[in-house]
Amino acid sequence: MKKILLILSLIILSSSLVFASDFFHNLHDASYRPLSLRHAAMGESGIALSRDEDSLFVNAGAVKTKGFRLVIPSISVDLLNVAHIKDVDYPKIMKGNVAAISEAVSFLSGEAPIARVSLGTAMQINGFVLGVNGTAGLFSRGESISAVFTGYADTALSLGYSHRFQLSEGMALTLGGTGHVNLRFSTTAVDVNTFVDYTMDNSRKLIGGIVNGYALSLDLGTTLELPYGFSAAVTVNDISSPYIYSDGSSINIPCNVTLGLGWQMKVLGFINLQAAADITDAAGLVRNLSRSNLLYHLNLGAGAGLWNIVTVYGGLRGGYPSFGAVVKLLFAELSAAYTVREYSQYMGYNPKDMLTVSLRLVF
Amino acid sequence: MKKMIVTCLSLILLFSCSLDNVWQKTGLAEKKPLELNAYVYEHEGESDSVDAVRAILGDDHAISYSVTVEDSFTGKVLRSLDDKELEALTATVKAKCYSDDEIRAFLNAPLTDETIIYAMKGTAELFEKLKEDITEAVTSCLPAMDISPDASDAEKEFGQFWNDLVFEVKKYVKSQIQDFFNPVISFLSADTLTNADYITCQLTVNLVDGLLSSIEDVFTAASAELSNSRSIDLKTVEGRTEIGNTIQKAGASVAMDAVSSVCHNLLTTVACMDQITNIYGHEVRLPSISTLLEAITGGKVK
Repeated sequence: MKKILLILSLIILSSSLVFASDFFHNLHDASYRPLSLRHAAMGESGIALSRDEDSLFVNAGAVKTKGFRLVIPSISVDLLNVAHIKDVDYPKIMKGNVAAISEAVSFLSGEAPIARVSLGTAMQINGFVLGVNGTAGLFSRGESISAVFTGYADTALSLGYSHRFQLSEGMALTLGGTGHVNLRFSTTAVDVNTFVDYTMDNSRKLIGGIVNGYALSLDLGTTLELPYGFSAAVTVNDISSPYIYSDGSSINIPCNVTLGLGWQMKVLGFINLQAAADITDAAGLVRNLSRSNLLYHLNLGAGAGLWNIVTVYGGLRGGYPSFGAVVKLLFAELSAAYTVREYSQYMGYNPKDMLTVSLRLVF
Repeated sequence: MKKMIVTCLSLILLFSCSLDNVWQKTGLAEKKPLELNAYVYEHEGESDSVDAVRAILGDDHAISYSVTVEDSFTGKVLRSLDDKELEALTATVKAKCYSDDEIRAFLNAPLTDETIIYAMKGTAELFEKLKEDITEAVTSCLPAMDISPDASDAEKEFGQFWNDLVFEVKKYVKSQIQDFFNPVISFLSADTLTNADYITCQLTVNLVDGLLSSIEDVFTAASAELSNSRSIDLKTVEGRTEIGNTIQKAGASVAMDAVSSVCHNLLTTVACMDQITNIYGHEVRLPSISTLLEAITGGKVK
């Protein structure tokens, strides 16, 4: 027993899980916003190319399909740090090698979900769209030395409406808004201190409790369809109340203005080409305008599809690459995306990659 | 067109494998320059006595440590960094957009900020004065537990575990603590100081913070257990003896908290040191966690 305690203490000493904190109030600095695989794989660009599926969270002015449409269910799995998984020295970890454990923990940590499963369903009737989405997973906060882990769940009940005005032949304007009721649950954070206490005194709990929070938010969006397949869009997302938590604290959610240009064209009758360029956080960019900042706020993406059966996408999100593919078979859509994004305060300091696999049934 | 698509896809695949930012890699966007921020305590007044605990940890502590300084004392001392600041330091030294060679060049670059240089010299002088006492203070507040014959098996087991751990830690502290202080003390006579020297100094300051905070936490817990709260100056032999006696009297529950407290206070710094020294050990001249563990356990934990 004492040997185990000693070894455990020493292993913990060498790990990188250090931070004393209670709850994960800054789980995200934005509201829960599940993205479609297309949007993620195109470097999170393409608000001007948004279609029905994106009207809930990407561009509220995007519902184009008339009549009835049902997405049930949509399930996706995300895994962070795919590129580093191969670097983890499992045999050494199994033998209790502290350096290997420390290194593996360092790979995992970051302001990011390590792994999560998401579910969603949406129904659309004549411009109205109603959606329920949820995700649950494991989140780590803090880079390397200050990393803490927590389990969390996010849900959103969303209701939106888009109206499309046909301006002239080849030109149309869509205006829309979507409201969200967001609920968030998270466990107390597990850091090395909690773990040490738990190891030393088994009567203590590893997870001390669950906190919940809620927020109401509104997204606005407009899309202008132009001739020759061009389109332009503006979205104002997260016009939001603060997240209010059950322990009395709150977190403000910053509002985000995005400008986008898109182009799509069908060539040879069966190839769908599309390209997009978006400027995210336009207000933040204006406040600190420079070439580097412009590039970091610029999301670019392109896609090519064959008969609407297989579509491949690629993009750059602030300079980080992403790609993915969607395969449609009757009512089923199988998608996969590989994305890279920055998880530190400064671009380039701590990029991490994520693999997302998703399956949806669309009627 | 076909060639362009193939080239674009190849570029995306290539960059995604290395997780590099394309704009930075192609030189179109600037990286944030590597920078180290100084967090400095400034001694005020004419007194030739500096409270090391206040300088390193800040105000309002149950322990103090008065150090008499020379006329040459710069009046500035590096203060301990909090978890977020340590994290930022680690993130800077491990910034993935810079190569190892670029970071090594940064670490070896001479310091030009006079405030930091004065603070490092001031810290060096403080450490030179307190290194012997702090070794004694740390070992004083890790007393061996009396294991009562009436104790339960679990209590006896814990008591034995505690005593073994205390023995190893004391042995290590007595034999190795010089290795931590000497590089910093050598800054007193150094003509040029580098960024790596600053990191060495800052991490040592945080390590001393961990030791002092552990002493304070354990002493405070023991005092509360005995309803005997008072302030202690670690400079005095009486103060150090009282800490040891108070902890010993307070018994097993405080000893248990002491293990936890030592871990809590030292882990951030130790983990930070490990993150940095694993890669840039030669530059920052501090032992990595593996070396420490090997020393404490005699190589039993690998």
